[in-house]
Amino acid sequence: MSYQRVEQVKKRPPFALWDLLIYGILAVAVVLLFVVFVFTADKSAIEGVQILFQDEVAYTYSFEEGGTAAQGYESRFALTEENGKIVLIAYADDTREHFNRIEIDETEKSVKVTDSNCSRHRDCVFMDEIKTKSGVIICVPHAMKVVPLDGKQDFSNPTVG
Amino acid sequence: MKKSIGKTIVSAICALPVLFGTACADEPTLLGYTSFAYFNTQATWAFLSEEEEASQANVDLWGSICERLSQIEESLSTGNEESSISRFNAANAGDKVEIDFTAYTVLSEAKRIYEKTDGAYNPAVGLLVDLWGFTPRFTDPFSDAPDMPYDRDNYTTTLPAQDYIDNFRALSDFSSVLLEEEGGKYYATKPSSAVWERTDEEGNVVETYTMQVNLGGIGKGYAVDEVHAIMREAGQQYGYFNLGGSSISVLQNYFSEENEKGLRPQSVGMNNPRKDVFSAPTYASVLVADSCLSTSGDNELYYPFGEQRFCHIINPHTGYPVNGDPQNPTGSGIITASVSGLSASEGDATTTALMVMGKEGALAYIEEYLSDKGVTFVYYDGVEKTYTVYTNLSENILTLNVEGMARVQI
Repeated sequence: MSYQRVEQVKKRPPFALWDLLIYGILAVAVVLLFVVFVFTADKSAIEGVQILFQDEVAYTYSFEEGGTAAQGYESRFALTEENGKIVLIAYADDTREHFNRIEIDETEKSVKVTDSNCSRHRDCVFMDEIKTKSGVIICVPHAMKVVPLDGKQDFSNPTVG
Repeated sequence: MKKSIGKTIVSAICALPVLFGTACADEPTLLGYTSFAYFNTQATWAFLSEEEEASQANVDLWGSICERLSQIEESLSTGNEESSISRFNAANAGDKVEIDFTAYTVLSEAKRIYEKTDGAYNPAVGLLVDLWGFTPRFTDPFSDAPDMPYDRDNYTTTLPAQDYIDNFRALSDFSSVLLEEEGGKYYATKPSSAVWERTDEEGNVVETYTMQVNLGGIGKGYAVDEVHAIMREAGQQYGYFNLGGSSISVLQNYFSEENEKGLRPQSVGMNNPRKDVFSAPTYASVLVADSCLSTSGDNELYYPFGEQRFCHIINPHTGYPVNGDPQNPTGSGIITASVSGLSASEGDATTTALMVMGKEGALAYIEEYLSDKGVTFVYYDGVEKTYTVYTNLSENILTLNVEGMARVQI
């Protein structure tokens, strides 16, 4: 860049009118996203949870009706009861070497991952318990998600088998 | 330059509604209810609604469906000691047991299909189902059922004793069960020969077993037929009822185009039976309209045993889980089968029977009895390690969703 060109750029105002407009729109978008995701988050109590492996529903636990594994996932879950809480072991594969221990408190209506051998950091174990419908726990190494049981299901693609 | 910036801003503003939601369309909505309270599985009823919320009529209809499911389960469940089937199972050989109408109807249908499939579908393998570890006392963690003498510490490394397999198989002659109606009451008589007394080395009787019936292969199908009747009676035209993916009763799909019969078919995904081999969630999709589709597979309940997979479907001829007998070390055989066009109860039992029959037997049965129905099965060749889809449905009706499965038109 020539010296003359550098001088020209230096003399320009720090923000052109269109730049300010774009920054303004971005700021509005940020605020909007903040409002949408923070203030409008569904704070209602959960009725249960679904456990998804690779985005496929593998297990559903309803506080009212208990738990059911989806077809083909029956051998990937073990349910027990410890100290008045439901303990669900979710195995990441059929070898049963990789697991997440999910604790379901039916009294408090909360769900938490309490143990896992997914990684050294075990991020999923330190994620907040799910108590409201906006909660979610994700275990990336096991491709597992725990999401609230939601009434708004998609019924358009039934499956069998 | 200024024009293009302006266009960008306008485009960004126009995109905001897309990002944050769009206005509601006037089209009706597909709504549904789900319950996990029946048959240890998920029941889903889907229906079309003009409103975003279910009407009181829909709430009432769902109540009727749940009530009927509960009645059927109370009658057929082996987990409920008071059910007709539990009382039959608890009876001594030769006893005549009063059963309710539902149990009588399902047992009669089971007997008809038992005879039609030459015993390939056999609900009297209840003891074998328990021996191999597939009854509720294994699958229900809160079951308080007692341990049995034949239980094993490790099911994935230890086979049951052969005398249990042989004698439990001998107790499964379902043709000898007598079903009667007398004066508006219904009875089932357990055959007097259906008893085995196991003795110790000194000849003392240490264990006694009688025939046990397990209607897992037909009960859910019967429940789907009953819900189908409820939906029809209520005048429901669109939607479906799916019970655990075992059987689904499909009406029509409002959102699809009419087929040549003037019906709007619903696409139903058929779950991939080998998720460790194929990544797609479903191996195929099939179009169904105003019909029931039933499926059985070795991917529902199973555990590995060496190179084999022991599943909950028992071959009544061998006493082993289907495709799991010692003569078949590679595990070759039909791993999932589906039938549409039959009642759900017959479809449920027939798909179990097809898996038991094996490829050649199933093809012969399809030719004789199911040529006008929609049949699909996946055959696994354990030697070549290949998967082949056999179907009599056209490519317009059945679409494969995975690569690596060959297709053979029956």
